[in-house]
Amino acid sequence: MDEWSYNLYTGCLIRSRFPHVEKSARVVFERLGVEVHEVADVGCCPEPVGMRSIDEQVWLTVAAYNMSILSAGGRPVMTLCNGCYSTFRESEHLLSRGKKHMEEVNRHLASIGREYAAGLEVEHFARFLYEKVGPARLKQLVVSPLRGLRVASHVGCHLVRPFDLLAFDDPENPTKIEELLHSVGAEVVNFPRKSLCCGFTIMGVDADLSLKMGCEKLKNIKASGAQAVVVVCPACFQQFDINQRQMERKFDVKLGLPVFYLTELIALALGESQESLGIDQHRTEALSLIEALGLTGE
Amino acid sequence: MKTLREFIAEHEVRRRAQACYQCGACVGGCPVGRWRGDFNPRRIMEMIMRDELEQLIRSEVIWLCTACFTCFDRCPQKIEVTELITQLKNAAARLGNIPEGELKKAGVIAKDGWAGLPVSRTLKQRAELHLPELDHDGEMAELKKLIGTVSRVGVLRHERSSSDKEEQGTD
Amino acid sequence: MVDALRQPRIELMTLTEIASCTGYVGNFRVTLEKKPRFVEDLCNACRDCIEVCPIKVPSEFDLGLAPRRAIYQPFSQAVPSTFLIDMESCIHCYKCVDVCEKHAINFSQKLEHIEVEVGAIILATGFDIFEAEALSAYGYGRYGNVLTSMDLERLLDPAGPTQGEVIRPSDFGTPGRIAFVQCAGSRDLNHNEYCSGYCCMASLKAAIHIKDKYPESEVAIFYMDIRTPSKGYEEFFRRAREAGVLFIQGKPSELAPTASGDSLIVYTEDRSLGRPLEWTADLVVLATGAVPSSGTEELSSRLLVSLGENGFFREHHPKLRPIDSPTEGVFFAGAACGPKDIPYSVAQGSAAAARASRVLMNDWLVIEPIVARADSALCRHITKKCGICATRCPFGAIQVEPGQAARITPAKCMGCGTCVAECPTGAITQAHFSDMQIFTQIQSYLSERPEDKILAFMCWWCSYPGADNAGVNHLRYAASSRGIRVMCAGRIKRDFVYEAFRRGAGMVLVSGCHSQDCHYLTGQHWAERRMNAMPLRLERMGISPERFRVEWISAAEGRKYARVINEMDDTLKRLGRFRIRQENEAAKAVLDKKLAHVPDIVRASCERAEAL
Repeated sequence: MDEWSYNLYTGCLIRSRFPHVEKSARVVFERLGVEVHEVADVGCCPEPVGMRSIDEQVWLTVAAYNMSILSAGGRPVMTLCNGCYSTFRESEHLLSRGKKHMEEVNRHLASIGREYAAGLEVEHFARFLYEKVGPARLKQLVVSPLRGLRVASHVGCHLVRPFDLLAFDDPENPTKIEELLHSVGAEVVNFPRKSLCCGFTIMGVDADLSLKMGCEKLKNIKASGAQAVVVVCPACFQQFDINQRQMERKFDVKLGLPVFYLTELIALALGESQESLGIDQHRTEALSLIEALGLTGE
Repeated sequence: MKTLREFIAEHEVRRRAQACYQCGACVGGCPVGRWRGDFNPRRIMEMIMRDELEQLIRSEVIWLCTACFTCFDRCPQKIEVTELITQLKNAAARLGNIPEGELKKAGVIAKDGWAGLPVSRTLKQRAELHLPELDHDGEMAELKKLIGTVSRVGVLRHERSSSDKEEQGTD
Repeated sequence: MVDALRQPRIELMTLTEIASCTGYVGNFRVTLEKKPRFVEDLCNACRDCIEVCPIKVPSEFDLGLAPRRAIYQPFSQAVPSTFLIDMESCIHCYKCVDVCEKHAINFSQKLEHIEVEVGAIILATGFDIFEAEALSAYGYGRYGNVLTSMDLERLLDPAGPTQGEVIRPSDFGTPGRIAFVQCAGSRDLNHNEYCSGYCCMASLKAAIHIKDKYPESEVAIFYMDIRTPSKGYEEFFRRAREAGVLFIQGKPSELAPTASGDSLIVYTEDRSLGRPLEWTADLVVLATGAVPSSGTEELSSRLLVSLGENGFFREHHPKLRPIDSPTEGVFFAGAACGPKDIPYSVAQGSAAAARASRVLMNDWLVIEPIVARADSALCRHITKKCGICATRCPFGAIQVEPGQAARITPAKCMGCGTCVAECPTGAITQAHFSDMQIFTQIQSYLSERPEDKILAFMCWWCSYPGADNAGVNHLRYAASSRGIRVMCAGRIKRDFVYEAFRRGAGMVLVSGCHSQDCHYLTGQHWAERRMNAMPLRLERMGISPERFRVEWISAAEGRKYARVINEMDDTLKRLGRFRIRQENEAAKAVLDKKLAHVPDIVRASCERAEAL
């Protein structure tokens, strides 16, 4: 599509820890004809839970700083992370609603020669795929449908909540990502309390509790018969993929659930090879499932 | 922030909690409350109304909120529970009560501009996947300057000259 | 209901709706639309037709829990007992016709339009049940074993689809653990803000019944508050506790299916014990509240009867005239105006009959003469679509047909004068409160030393009695005020304010009721809107905006009236005569032009008097 042109914002985690996620996103954008522009000088969005909890004014100001840069070319911004999506959507909401906030933020930005004009359109890649591309169109582009793959979809918190602000999908029963997964040939399994938080954000406060919360989700998912978990946020990815072994040891459970980013599965279905996508970079072994089902792409 | 009371007044914390009728819907769905009985959003709302926040602000409990917004969405009185707890965390931070792990994370952002920089292994992985090189230009100077000057939280603030201090006012 | 059918002076017309209604109290002309039943009253409800009808569809009465045929009786006690055919489902096989001994089935029945003339109308349209699918966290519609109280009522009915047995939809088994979730969608800003009042009692009743019928069952009611205000209700609550029903205070946050089967886990806080609770239930019953009956909105526009909050019909006054609609001659009974329980509804039925009798008993009805009248020569709706007046009238007194002048029905007009002030061409006048009468008062008051005076416009029901209240209580307030009373603040035209300043007034006050108290429901609202920009307009003319005030003062607020007048008097003195005169001079040219159509009534009359 000619009109799909975005400033790409990967956020901290993907940029510095999960190259395979970034790769899969870029592959999907390329194959769908989405133009992504690189933007320099941006930093952490900042992180919507930790930073906002410590100093909301800093969070708001730095977010406005980033958004002023990301407004380059009058293009909307594409985020790959629920957290970044939340930061930009929430701060944009606060700034466009409150003149006082706007004035104060721009006063600080002026001291470094910048200004935020408000009104930046912020998109999350999963929402883009559903609302702008759509399951039907996506299905048309599939060359290697993911037949035989049974997955559970964990949409996370900040893509759908608060509903009043984001109004994307029913937070109590989100199904839109599942529709996308159907369209690329995967079978989606339902599991109880699927919109429960993964717990990642309190890792720095109580690591044991954080792991417990994540483990509960994975246990539910495992019990539902899914072979893998699909996520759309790198925080959830880190919690489920990187920390899975720790959970297994700590709580004496066997999980063995590969974790995929939505774009990784879509990229595979669109014909990209698993080597090119770096599936072997996952910490929780994911390649064998892909190979067993013959879903390695071209 | 001279006192907790002033902070609460400035951010209208009490006004925003007033309509709470203590139904407990926020507790039933809370992913944290399930495991930690001491984390109870409903009780926190009541403590705001009773002005009994001194102890709460000094404890680790409020930092257990993952900001998942489940309570926010489900509250039948549309109380901004998550945001009020965030305000309490802000107040605690001003007093210097920040869990170490959180402080470390914020410190990294203030120092590096990102919540973590890629290690060499990751850079190698990026190269293997033919991803664009990361920009190392401008050691995030602007962003770091912003954090240092805007923050009212001691640990994030830069060392300032005395004239700057006068401008900002003491805390 | 059968009594109603048999009463010779009651004509029962079922399957009938109001298509349109014109006229006014004592003289309503109603067009009714009588839908065809396709079965004549010869029908003796023998049920032979049901046996042969091949079509099965979900029964509306049984909320889809049981089927009915295309030819059916809504429920066994239906009045009349005559069956009817649902033509949307019927496949015209005519097997019913063949088997009907009474030859009662008539496929050629047509829709009838019937005109009736009635003196009064009573709306007893009841309520509908809130659609619980909206409560996504509770999964109604997704989880088979989540029901609403109404669903449960059908199960408990001995004549219902399960003959009174409480069974779970998923496996038809008897549930051992049943959870009631109170306030489902009620007292909730995300759904219905209001409390429907009857749900607590309904759940208590069902819970007691279930404990009685299934002594081994565990029944828990999850609640925020238990509301049992009426006679015998609190005792009933005790009875439930004595029957062993468990009461757990805490609003359930979500329901989730158990890993194994179709049971559900109620995730809530057990407030009494101060900790989260996960309670497993085989069956969950959502105590949902009432919403306006479907069709309320159409009916409201057909009858020109206003709707109030939350889409229910609006009473003339919720406390002082709860049976009357703002439209004269239309009355309410029951839940049409808002959720009610049975005793309340029954009492209202009698009350509505009494109110209607008042109309029907007399040949003449006395109305206030302060009605509005539209001059067809000036009405702009004839040539250019307007109709503003009709939108301002909450009493449905104004009718605007395309290409015709607005028509005001005196019997419906309550006399607020809002339409008079809102009409863009000044085509409407109000008897006894004409523009000329009011301009005369303005000019009279301000004929001498106007810059020393505060001219106050007040409404009949609130602010004038408020001023009176100040006087009767001997509250001191400045002698500089002069009052002009109109029926409602809605009557106060901008021109009155302009004329006051044109005549040199020092200060002008526009006052009326508080918004929720306006006797004419919405007059105050339009007045407020109309006067919003007035300070800015005055400022542009060179008149200090602080010389104009808008205040809403109730009849009991004598103190407030006194305070406002004193404050205005202070301002008056602070500005000083000189400055006021200067400002008035500066504004004169603009005001003269604006009010060119307003004659010098007082001067003219003085001159005439002198001439005599």
